[in-house]
Amino acid sequence: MKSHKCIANGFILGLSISLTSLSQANTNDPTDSPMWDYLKTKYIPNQSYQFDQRIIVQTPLFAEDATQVPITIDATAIPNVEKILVLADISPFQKVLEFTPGKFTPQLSFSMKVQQATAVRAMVLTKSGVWHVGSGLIDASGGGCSAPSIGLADPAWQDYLGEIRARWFSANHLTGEKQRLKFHIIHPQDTGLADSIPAFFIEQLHIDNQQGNTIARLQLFEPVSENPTMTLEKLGTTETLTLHFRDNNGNEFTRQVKP
Amino acid sequence: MNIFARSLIGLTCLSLSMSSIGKQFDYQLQAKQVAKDTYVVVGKSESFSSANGGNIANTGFVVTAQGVILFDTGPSLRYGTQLRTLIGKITDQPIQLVLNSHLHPDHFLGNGAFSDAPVHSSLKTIQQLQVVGDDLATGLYDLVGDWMRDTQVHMPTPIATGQIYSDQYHDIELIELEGHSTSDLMLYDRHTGVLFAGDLVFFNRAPTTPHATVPNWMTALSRINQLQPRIIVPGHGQPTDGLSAMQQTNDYLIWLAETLTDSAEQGLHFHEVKQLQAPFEQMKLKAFELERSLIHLYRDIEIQHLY
Ligand SMILES: [Zn+2]
Repeated sequence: MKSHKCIANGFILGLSISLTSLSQANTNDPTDSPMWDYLKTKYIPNQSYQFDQRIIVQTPLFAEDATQVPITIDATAIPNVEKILVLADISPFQKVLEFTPGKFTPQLSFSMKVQQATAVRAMVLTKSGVWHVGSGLIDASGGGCSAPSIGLADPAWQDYLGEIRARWFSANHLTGEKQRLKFHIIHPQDTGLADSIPAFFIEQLHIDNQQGNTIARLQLFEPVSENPTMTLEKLGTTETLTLHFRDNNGNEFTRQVKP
Repeated sequence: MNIFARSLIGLTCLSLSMSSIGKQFDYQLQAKQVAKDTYVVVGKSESFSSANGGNIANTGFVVTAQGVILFDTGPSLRYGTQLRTLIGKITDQPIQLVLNSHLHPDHFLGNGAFSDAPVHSSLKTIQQLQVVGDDLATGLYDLVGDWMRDTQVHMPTPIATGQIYSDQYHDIELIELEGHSTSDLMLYDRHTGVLFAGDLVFFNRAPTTPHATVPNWMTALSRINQLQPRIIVPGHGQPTDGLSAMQQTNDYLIWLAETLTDSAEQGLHFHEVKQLQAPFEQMKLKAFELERSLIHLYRDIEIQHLY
């Protein structure tokens, strides 16, 4: 386990100390993943991109529970972000989610499923049309001594499908000057890969303000964990917002969040 | 070798390089006498690795006039076999009874070396092993490699709690509590005052929580406090005189519960909480186990702090 720790730490260290080399476009994959060429051809064909270490992708030291791997992405150092596309290099479903932050800051936390060790990409598109790529690694070999979700799965989840919990957390000394919105929805997020269980997952979330204008959007894909919890951040004040979820079966779930 | 390739094949590399260090997979087990007829084989205060072969938990035994009562059998068949050899160097008494404290693989996968003796655990542990036993064994194989060769889940049979042995030197009972897992069996010798506490107690090694219910665990520790054992043999870490190991485990659980609750109330996410430091100077693997515990426990607490 120690060696994995070293790899991960070295990687994070690398992120923080090599800010100098950013001005010129860097197209060398810092993770040396064998999948990068495929990924860029498939998801950003013929578009200009650069690896950008200003984008922070936080991953755990190892995947203690491969169905719940917490990821935090922070692209606030990139000006004029249009959207963030999150990809997993080695996964039956490479697209994880797509976040259009709108009035929120370009950063989010969520959990995802992994099949095996993989790089995770935060592909950040700026309004000028350039992709900035941040990377992180997940080592799926760790854990051991654990079968976390066994016996914990609630057999009665259908009764709670679409139940939403949410809360604004005002800026404090720990969360910084931004207001934080955390929410949770009960949904199985079935990928369709397990025997005889069809794909069943949240596809869309849009967040509307009191005037009914959409101020942020999220598109979710199969790898987002069961019963997703997500954290978003926003400058300025907290306000009454409405979360609109929609799954691939056409179910809609709505919830207002007050300051 | 690039970082990505290393993360994929790191385990293979480790098991190749460590197998030579392992010297024919010798765990180099040593028994430490803690009281009359009472011995502990102390595991390493580490996490699973191909260097330690999974030898991270304690096993122990009491040599009685009727035979040896063994508490836990270690992480692999090789460990169990080497433990049996070690016991044979200390006494000619046969193995009378083998106990498994709980479902975790570092405590019961040596059972195969004692298949000619009665091997027992609580009924709840058996029921859990029927569901997850094979997965736990496979998981450990992935982590420590060839040390596990030929190791299989050897199912214990149920045993009632209460007194299991008594003579003029020993008065031994089994006590079933819960909290570290849903069934934690302890062995207590009222005569010598030695309590084999299983994983309800850790000492100078951060407690693990993959199947833990923290409030129940703290209740179990208060039961241990009532017993007032003279010596506590923790599941991980050195045996201690008096109650200090129990107290340290309790203090850690209080810290963990408060930290997770406070963090959820502040709206923190995983990668913020994992930076927090448990204030226990001598405790090994604090950051590692905190990160694991966040996966086991924090998500539910986070959700409870939403409306
Ligand atoms: Zn345990």
